Amino acid sequence: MRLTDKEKAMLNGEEGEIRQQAIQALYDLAMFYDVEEFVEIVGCHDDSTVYAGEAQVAFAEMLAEKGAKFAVPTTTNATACDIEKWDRQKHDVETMSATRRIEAAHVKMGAIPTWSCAPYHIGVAPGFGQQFASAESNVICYYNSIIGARTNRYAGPLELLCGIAGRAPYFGLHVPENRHAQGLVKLGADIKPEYFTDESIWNLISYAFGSIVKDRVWALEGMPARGATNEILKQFSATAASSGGIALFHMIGVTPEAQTYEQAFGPNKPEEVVEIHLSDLRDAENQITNPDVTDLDAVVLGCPHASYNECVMVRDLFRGRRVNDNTNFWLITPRSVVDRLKDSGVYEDLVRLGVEVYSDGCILEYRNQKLGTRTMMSNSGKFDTYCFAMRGLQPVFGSMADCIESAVAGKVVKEAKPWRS
Amino acid sequence: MEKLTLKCKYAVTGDVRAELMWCNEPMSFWGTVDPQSGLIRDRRHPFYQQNMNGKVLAFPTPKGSSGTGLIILEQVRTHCAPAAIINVRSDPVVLTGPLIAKRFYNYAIPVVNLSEEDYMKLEGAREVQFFTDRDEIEVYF
Repeated sequence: MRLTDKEKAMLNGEEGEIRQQAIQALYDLAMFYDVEEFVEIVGCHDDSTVYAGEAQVAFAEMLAEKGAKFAVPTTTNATACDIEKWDRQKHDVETMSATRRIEAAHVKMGAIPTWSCAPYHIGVAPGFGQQFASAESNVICYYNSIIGARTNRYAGPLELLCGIAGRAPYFGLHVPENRHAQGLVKLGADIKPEYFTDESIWNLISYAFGSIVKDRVWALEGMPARGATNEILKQFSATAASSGGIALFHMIGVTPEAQTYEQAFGPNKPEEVVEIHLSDLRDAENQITNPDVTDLDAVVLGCPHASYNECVMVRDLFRGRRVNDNTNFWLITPRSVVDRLKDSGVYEDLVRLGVEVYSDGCILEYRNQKLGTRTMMSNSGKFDTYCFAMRGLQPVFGSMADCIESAVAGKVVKEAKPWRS
Repeated sequence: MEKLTLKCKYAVTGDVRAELMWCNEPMSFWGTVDPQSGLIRDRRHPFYQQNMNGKVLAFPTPKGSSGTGLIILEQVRTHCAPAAIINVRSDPVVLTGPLIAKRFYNYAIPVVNLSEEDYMKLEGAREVQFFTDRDEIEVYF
């Protein structure tokens, strides 16, 4: 491997034991993949934050106690529970205390305490073309695809070692030549432009796209650039990363490395072209929704965490009506967004409507049994993909507007759609 | 015992000899393995209800969530980790646990990659020997 003087010093232990161990593990990885050099990263998103067992907590505490410090700005992912309001969420003391230990260890290492799976909503994302290390699947997909920053699919806690070393092995999606599309998904003529006024179609196309593409780099042609807000693109990224394991996609005419077809493919020709139709969207919805629900115990929004803009949209969609007495409505948003909501008065509006606003926690850690929740609804393709495996119940999928109408009625209310016929 | 020597590429080295568990299906640790016992809980997987504690685990490719790294570290802590891992193609997700165990806890879970052809030769083998200083494994039938 070609090493800089700084990297040699780290490997020799001149920057302390932890930085030496971190870069040794990355060096082992580089050697295995025949990587010739490290690349400096501008930042790291630390995903080892949702409590998953004592080894995770012990590892972070060991690093912190031995004086580990992040070499680059490092944001923290969601935790298991709201760090303040864990008891109202019916989390147990064990989860709370493990979360507190995770919080302390990561802050001691110098992390920026964002506690969010949507750091891009709070102004701490990398820029176009910048090298980065992330291990949360939706963040990986959003940073690579929507921003054009460069990260591989790291697994916690490997990204922590990149953050401590300030480097990643230069391979995979760090390398521009590996980022061109290899295959193409096209929209069939039966998926009409006017259908895109409902944002849930983006989630369904994304689910179908991920199912076809799996973990490869492919392009998608035929999506409208109009209406592609950051929130809609967030949902697209999160869902594609869940149904397929996608780390980078190119939406032609929308995403920055695919402003044209030629830019998306570079020197490649599509090795395969797949067309998707309304029937694929129907199949996608059938995979992630539960058709047998009428009475609704809970509506959960904020997978990935809601932006300020989405919180305002939620308030406005209620049009002054309240959440039904038989239904819980949870909205999860980064704590720095909560501060802004309080500044503007939107927080008070949401509370008056019966919305429970939480921070930090991952909604997939929802304690449905302790809360007595048997039926749920969300607008998230990611949540609805993982919820059955993690929580033992299949939620209803709908648009944000469907979710609010359903919360008011206390029953599932879904608008008729061409793909639902 | 009949012995077969196969060339391989080591991601993590170690001197280990243990009993083999072999399958020809991709595998995720997250949501599949009980990190307190090493038991495989996924009803759809050929290893269902087998325990990987102290065994050489062979599956062609990893799949699924990036939570796998933390599961293997938890298995090291609770003493139910596999003794070694054999793949055709390892990804960084499955390497995370063994790389951290080696560099931070001085605990070796050797991981090797074999060619597809050699991987299929392992079916029915009883034990596998790994090395720190040789680019090969010894397979015992």
